[in-house]
Amino acid sequence: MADRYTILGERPRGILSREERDRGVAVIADLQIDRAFRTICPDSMYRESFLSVLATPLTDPDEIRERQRIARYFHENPQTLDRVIEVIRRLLLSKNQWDAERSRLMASRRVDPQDKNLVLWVARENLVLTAHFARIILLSIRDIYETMNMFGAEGGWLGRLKDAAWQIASTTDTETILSFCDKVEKGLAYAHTYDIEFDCSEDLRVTVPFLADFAYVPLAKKPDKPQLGGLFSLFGSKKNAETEPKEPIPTELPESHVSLSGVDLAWGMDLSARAVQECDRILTSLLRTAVDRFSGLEEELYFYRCLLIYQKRFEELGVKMVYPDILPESDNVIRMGNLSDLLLLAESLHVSSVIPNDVNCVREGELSGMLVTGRNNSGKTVYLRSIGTAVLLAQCGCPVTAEFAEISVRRRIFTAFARAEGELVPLSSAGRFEEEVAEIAAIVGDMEPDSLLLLNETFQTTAYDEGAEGMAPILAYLSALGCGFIFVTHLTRLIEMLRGTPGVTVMRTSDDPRTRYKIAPLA
Amino acid sequence: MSYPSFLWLREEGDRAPAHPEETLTDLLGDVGFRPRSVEILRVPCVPEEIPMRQGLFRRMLTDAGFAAKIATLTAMLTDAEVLAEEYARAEIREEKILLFVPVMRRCFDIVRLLEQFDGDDGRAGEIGSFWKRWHEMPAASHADKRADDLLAKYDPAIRLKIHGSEASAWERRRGVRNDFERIIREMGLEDALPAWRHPQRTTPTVIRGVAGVHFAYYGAAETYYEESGDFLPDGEAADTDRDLRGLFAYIDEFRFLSDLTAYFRDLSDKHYPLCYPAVSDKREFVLEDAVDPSLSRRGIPGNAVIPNDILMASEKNGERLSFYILSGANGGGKTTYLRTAALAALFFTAGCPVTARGGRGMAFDAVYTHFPSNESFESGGRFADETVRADKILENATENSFAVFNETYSGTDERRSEEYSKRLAETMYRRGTFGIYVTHIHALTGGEIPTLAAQIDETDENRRTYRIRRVGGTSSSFARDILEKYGLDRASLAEKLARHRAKTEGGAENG
Repeated sequence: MADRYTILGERPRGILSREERDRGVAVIADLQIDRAFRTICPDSMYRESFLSVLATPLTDPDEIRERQRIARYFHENPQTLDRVIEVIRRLLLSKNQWDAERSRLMASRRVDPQDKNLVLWVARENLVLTAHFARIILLSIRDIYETMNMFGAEGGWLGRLKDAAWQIASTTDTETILSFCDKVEKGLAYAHTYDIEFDCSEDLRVTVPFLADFAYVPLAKKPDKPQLGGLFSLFGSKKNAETEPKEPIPTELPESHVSLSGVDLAWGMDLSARAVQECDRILTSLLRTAVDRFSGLEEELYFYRCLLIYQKRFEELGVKMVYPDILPESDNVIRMGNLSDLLLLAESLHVSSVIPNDVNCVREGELSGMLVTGRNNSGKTVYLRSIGTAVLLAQCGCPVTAEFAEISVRRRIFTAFARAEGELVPLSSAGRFEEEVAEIAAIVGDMEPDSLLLLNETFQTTAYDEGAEGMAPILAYLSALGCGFIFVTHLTRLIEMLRGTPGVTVMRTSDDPRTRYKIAPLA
Repeated sequence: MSYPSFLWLREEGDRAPAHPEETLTDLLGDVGFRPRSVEILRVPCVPEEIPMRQGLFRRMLTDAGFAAKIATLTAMLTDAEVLAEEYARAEIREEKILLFVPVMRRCFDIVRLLEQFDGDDGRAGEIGSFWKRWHEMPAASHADKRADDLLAKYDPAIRLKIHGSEASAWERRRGVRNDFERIIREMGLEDALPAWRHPQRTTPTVIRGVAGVHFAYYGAAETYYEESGDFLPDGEAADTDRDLRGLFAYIDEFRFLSDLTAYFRDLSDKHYPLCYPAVSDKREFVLEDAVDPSLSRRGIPGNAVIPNDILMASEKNGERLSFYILSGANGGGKTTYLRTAALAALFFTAGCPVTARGGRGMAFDAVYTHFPSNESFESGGRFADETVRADKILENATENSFAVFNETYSGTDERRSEEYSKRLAETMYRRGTFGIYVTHIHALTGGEIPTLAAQIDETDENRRTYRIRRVGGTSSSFARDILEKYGLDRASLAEKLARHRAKTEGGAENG
């Protein structure tokens, strides 16, 4: 099956493993992005879609840039986003209505397959219903094209979506389908003559018959019972025939036609029913496939909607925001100027009270890591959180709350934050340290090259020297793997061990009350 | 008429099954051969047919092109036969005439492929030449060309207008369905196209419509039918050199070849030796390093099986060696040897390869087997069943037959078993029937009937060697080894008893 249309990324999100997705959700929770967005975007429908996308960051720089481009486009044309959301909702709603109507029709018509008259009647009813919704659905898709065209959506994923919508709903071919549906809707219920096409091979095998055309008697009221239908005036009892037009309107035949006499009535009805069913089957398949292609867009658009809300909120508050420059993963760079923590910005009464900090984490030699130390309640964890949040938002194509940003794509992002007693593995008989080690072991097992690990006071549930001794080879292993790390720690022994190592920056929070929450490299 | 066969040099009336059904059940079990292949296997070859079939199997196993051609022909014949049956049962004249053309076309396609057979191995080359000559017959080549010319003009597109009990048909110039499918493709929704449904047989009404719409084609087909109808006559097989229905007899022959080839290819892949024994003008059956092919079904590769020679002759150095008593150690390979010999005899007389390094033999007129079986519902007891079956073999086996007996009459007391076994074995021996009688009755060994025994290595804890050798007589079946293996020998039982006592006494003391 072909992929659904997307304006979020090429990689089908459905193929992510549950474990990978759960890990993404855990990272969001550790960084408290979900909490921040509860304040930023109170509408849970938009917010949940946004957070769901955030759980699976992109890894291709081009895709991230394309998402940034779309976010900018919607930022400049917010009415386009609203309109497309409305049309997509209408499209999906129509499809649901169609399904409901079809189920209702099936449930109310229990058909004896031997009753060819009734089989044909039900087949026609189904096709009429399908034709009715085909018009609605195709016109909704046309609306998508027209909306995007009106607001100049060009190139990239938006251009592709616009082209696809045009191809399905705005060509002369679409008119052919629409006029067929129009005729079916108006007249199939009153059809008296059926044009049926099929292939009959030289060995007398026939393909499935298909309804090519039909002729009908227009009636003022659509029948609701088979006995009242125009068709049944021909196939039905004599009494019924008398109540309906006596002379059905003959349709034109080509000159070279052959008349077949003595045709069995039931055979004719059976063949007609199968032709109508086949027509319905093809039209149904076309509509289902078309709707399915667009069905993923609703949540994707909600992502952009939430993103606009996020941008608008901080712009109004005068917070500096920037779309980061996305660098290849091999560059191993995280560099930002005046980065503010998202949660603090979201929850502060005055955003000016949030102290920004610079980040400069660049690979040198094998290592690409940062150790953050300092007194309690001096902003270490906030610093770690602000970096993690910025990297994650950046990789999802979102702007970050900084003056400038250069970020290398991280293949995967992991967090290991110290947890309270009993928060690690409920009912586990293992000690806290053991549980922590198990968690780190699981993360280390999943780490891929060029990933990023954010550690917050890890291995401090044991003697500090032992924690340091234990942590050092892990960090060395991660570095050897090409992964970066940012580690908030009180393990002074570890800092002594790694201080001066190329590629490892040691940052320390300020002890000076005048520069409280400022973080600078340790001299 | 009947056309030259790939498998037979005899007319159909002379091909009665001779091997009892039980023979194939006992020796092959369910190997997946089609029932008709089993039927063919039950008919032993006359001596001239054996090398002919061996040549075919050699080509099937070594010439991939030849095997592929047989597979293609089988598929074409099956398809053509289905259509020919519909043609024969046609309800209306229009159906008969319209079906005549494609059936003829298919038959001529088959003839064209048949005439490509060449080479001396087997009878394929001879058959290829026959069909080439047949095809060059003016009537045949004319009919072939006409079928081609006619079908080139056939257009399958039809449209019907149905109005109550009236219908009209005409030739479709443009397809609405095709338009729909094109549009769906151009929309980029290819996966919306529903799965293709297999075309179905149609009704007389549609057939009349087709005949009426394509009246020019139908008229030409009618003329063709009248001119060439004797290629596919109605009723019984016609005594004419034109009746193409005889082609369908090849279906069973090709399926037999394919079934058996698949069986032997599998054996060859599993490293079982295959050979094509020569037909001997003497009354003998000799195989070198023969192995039991049925061991492959137990997952044993051929190169891990201990081979044995088989030497049977009506007279060798003044001794009759056509029938043997086989006895010896349990689990020593007696039944395997019996099966090796019987399967080799069966396959050799069917012209198939044999699992041995080489050999020669006479063409047996039947292969009989008598294996122990469970009592059936209708049985009068195991012994009675065995007697009935053994009596049938006694009645039918000739000096040219091959008969194997596996512990026959073991369903009765020792005295009677010995008496009946002796009578049966001696009758077979004296009649000159070839075969083997496996028994644990040591009194039967070492007498007039030559004895074979499953060998053991007494210096190595009675290890089974799976070698079968001619001996003077036997005195032990080495059942103790088997009992030991399953913990039922004396020492094991004593130990078991001691453990049991210790446990019981311990329990009593505790109590």
